[in-house]
Amino acid sequence: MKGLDIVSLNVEVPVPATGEDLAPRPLLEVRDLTVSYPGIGGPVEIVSGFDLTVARGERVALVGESGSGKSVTARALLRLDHRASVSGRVLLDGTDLLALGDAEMRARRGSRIGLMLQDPMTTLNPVRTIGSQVMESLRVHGIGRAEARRRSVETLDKLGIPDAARRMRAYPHEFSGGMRQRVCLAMAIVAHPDLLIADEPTTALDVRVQEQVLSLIDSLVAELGMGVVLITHDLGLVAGFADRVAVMYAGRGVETGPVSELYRTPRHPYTSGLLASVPRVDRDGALAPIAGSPAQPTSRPGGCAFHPRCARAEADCTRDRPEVRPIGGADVACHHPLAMAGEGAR
Amino acid sequence: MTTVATTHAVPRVRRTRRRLPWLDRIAYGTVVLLLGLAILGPLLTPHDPYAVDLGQALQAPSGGHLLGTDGLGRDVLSRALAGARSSILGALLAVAGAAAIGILVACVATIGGRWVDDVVMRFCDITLSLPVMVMALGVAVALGPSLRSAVIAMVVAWWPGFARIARAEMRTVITSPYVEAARVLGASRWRVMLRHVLPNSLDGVYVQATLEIGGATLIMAGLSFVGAGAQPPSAEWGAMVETGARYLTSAWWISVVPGLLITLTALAFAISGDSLRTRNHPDAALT
Amino acid sequence: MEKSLLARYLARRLALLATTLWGVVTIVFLLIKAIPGDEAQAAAGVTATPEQVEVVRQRLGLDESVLHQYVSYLGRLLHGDLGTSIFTFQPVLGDLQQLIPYTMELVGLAMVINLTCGVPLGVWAAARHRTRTDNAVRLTAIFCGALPTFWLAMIAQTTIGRQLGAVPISGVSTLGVEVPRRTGFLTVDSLLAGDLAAFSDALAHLVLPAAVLAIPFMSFVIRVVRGSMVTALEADHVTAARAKGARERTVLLQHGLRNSVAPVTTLIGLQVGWMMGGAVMVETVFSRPGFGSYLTQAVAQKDTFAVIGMVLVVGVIVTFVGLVVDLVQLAADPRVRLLETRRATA
Repeated sequence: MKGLDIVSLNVEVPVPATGEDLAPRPLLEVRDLTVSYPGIGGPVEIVSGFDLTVARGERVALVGESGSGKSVTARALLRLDHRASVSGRVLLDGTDLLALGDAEMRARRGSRIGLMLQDPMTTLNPVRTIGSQVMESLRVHGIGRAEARRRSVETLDKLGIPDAARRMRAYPHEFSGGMRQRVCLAMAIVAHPDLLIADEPTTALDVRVQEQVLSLIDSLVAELGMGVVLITHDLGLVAGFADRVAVMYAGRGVETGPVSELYRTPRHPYTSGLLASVPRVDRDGALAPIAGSPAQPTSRPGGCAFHPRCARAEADCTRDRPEVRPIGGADVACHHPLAMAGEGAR
Repeated sequence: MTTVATTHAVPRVRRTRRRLPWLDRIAYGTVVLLLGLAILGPLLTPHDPYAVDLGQALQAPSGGHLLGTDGLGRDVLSRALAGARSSILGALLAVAGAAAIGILVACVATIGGRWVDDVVMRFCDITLSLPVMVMALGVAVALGPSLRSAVIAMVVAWWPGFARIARAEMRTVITSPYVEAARVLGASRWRVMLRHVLPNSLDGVYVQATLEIGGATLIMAGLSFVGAGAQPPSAEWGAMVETGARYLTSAWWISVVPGLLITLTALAFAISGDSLRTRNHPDAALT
Repeated sequence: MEKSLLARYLARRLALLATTLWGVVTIVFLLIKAIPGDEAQAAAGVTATPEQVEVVRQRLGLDESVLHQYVSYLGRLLHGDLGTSIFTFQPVLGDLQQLIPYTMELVGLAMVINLTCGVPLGVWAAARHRTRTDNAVRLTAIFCGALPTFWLAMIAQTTIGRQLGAVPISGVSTLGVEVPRRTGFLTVDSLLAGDLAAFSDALAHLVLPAAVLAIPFMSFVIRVVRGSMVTALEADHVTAARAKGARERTVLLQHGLRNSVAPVTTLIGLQVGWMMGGAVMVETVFSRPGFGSYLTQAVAQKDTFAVIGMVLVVGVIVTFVGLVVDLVQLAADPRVRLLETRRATA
């Protein structure tokens, strides 16, 4: 799909009802997602015209600084925040989630799309047992208590919780941070969703545990054939995990492409800047943080939102919003992309 | 890792807005008005609030007596105005006294070390667990029922609440860098306490005091109502409600007027206190 | 919590109970000592002859040292001697045993009304946080808290009782309706006797005073439920629950109200005592026999020792309620269990 002209896709006609189209239908297809929240001086747009595609079994990383709108995107995909007004299309297996009724949407949360949050400390309710919270993911979809218990123990067991059957009765505070995050992962996937959205799942954990959690997610993808959207601010984490990367800045996708290509030849100056600020073992030299600070949702610059921080910015960058266009293997929204390999990294 | 901190970027713009600002303003205005009444009320009375005139008894509100007369022919409006002083100033005095003692005890607990702190705070907890109304009845009776006893009773029953709040704030303040600095410079414990800790620990006490004045008005009136506070014939709102009790079906105004005034006072102070608290700690509103 | 830890906790808690009771007694003793003038005269009553006063002085040991008096006061209390009423000439304790059940019935029903109205209102406000509904409930709470109980009692008695004739306006039962006294609780005794007419008669006498007593206390219940739920509902576990596909009702009850159990229990514990204070006024207005009207009478008769004995009894009741509250919290909230475990092992 990545070679397609996205602008033309927006005007596109109804999605084919059955699987008779030639290209395999992606698991998740997000088109022109726009999310705004009510603010003092009228609605504030947090995400503007964001596109994303995830195939079955594919691991896509969504990368951006805080305030870039990545977490808002995650919540908008599940329609979790009723204060947000969301427009565009979110196609899950061809069904537009944004067009569903509340009950239909609810039926898909947890069972079709699982969400894993950043802080396992607060994601688990301190006054309820681990078991009841994992089972809840199944119980709310009408699965009986005994069956829910069996599957929950099985999942916790698979995720490496020792003595899972007994630990079901434990409370969150009796678990370590890493174990808690495994429980959160169990809550998100116990109902075997097709898509897992993991919002900064490792940020609150220490490095060794980070790897354990990521490799658990990895093996689940392989086993269940889930699609994964991994939301992170940490490009270093992405390298070993994702198949594709989507970089977000100020509510827009600025560059999307296969992970190896994006690392080798970043096209967008922002991507390149992010890469330069990641410590890497295979390169020497000082880290180069991106100058300036991220654009605030309430005061995003016109034209290309990155232009105040961009060394390559010219007059048109302050004036026109760059459209997404394919360059090499990636989709890039930049008027003056970095041209060749080697040139872009530093 | 990039150098960026991560927080969810859900905008919180809407959350900081104060709800119903007009109501706060009305409440503040009412508080000022009530304080004015407490000071000037007895001077504004159209009739002598204590003049008994049985020929004028139980008159309905009219031009001569705007709020009618009571069973002894006394002008209800005049008594209500005269009563503002004892009811509101009584409550103010009780709260001020309780706050002062509470702050003093908190100072002692804070600089007295762990052992003193434990004993004092346990004592506060025990006193707090006794219902104010019952405790105050006990004190009021021990001292002989009068308005003065009621005020003392409420101070006795109420100071531990203030002591707890003041101590909690002092504990926070005492660990702050500037207090640390003063201590390093060799200031004595009492000096640090009085010059640095105390002045910075009083915000919570002020807010709590404002909130409690409403409650104090209710308890004061209640004490007078059951006969442990202001004694007849003195004009006090709680006592006025009591004298009107037997005429409630025939001459409702005798009880309804002071009752409404008590409610209004409690309401105005409660809303003002809540508003002040919300300003201090936006998250703590009404919790 | 483990058995040994639980035992240690109970031991600690009972020790605390003992110190609290001792503290209450000491406060009451100090109260007696604070009485200006001749204590023997106060104990004997204003109408007593000088000879009677001397007898009382001898009996109370007022010619001994204060320490000696304190010890003998403790001794008398241990034998259940709360002093003698100068009005009824009965031991205060005996009078109370007759009257306390009436008050307990009143406070009990008031608590039921208080919770059945206050908790749903608090939940409703929290669910509609920052809306008109929320504001309306918030104002209702403030308004309920600003009503003088005695005045409200009078108005309700006159309008609902006297003018509408909906319920009886005074006493605890209609003249002639009698049931054999077993527990002292009229509602219970009438049910034990199988006398439904007497039961509904007792309930009719109880409902209006209980409702009046409940209204000011609802104010606190609404605030505490609303406040703790608003906090709970902002936590990530609520987002997680929604992402599992849980219904709003489930989210509200399982992840909001469930977390309010501990603070609400604390509040209930405090309110039992406060309600006994409120019962003083309500019982007086509705001419119900009970702890409160006895207290008012004692105040009117300047029956000092009856009043002080009453303060002591309330103190003891409140202390035991506190113990029950702590045990309920220990059972209901793992966070409390954790805290207590840490204390016990520290």
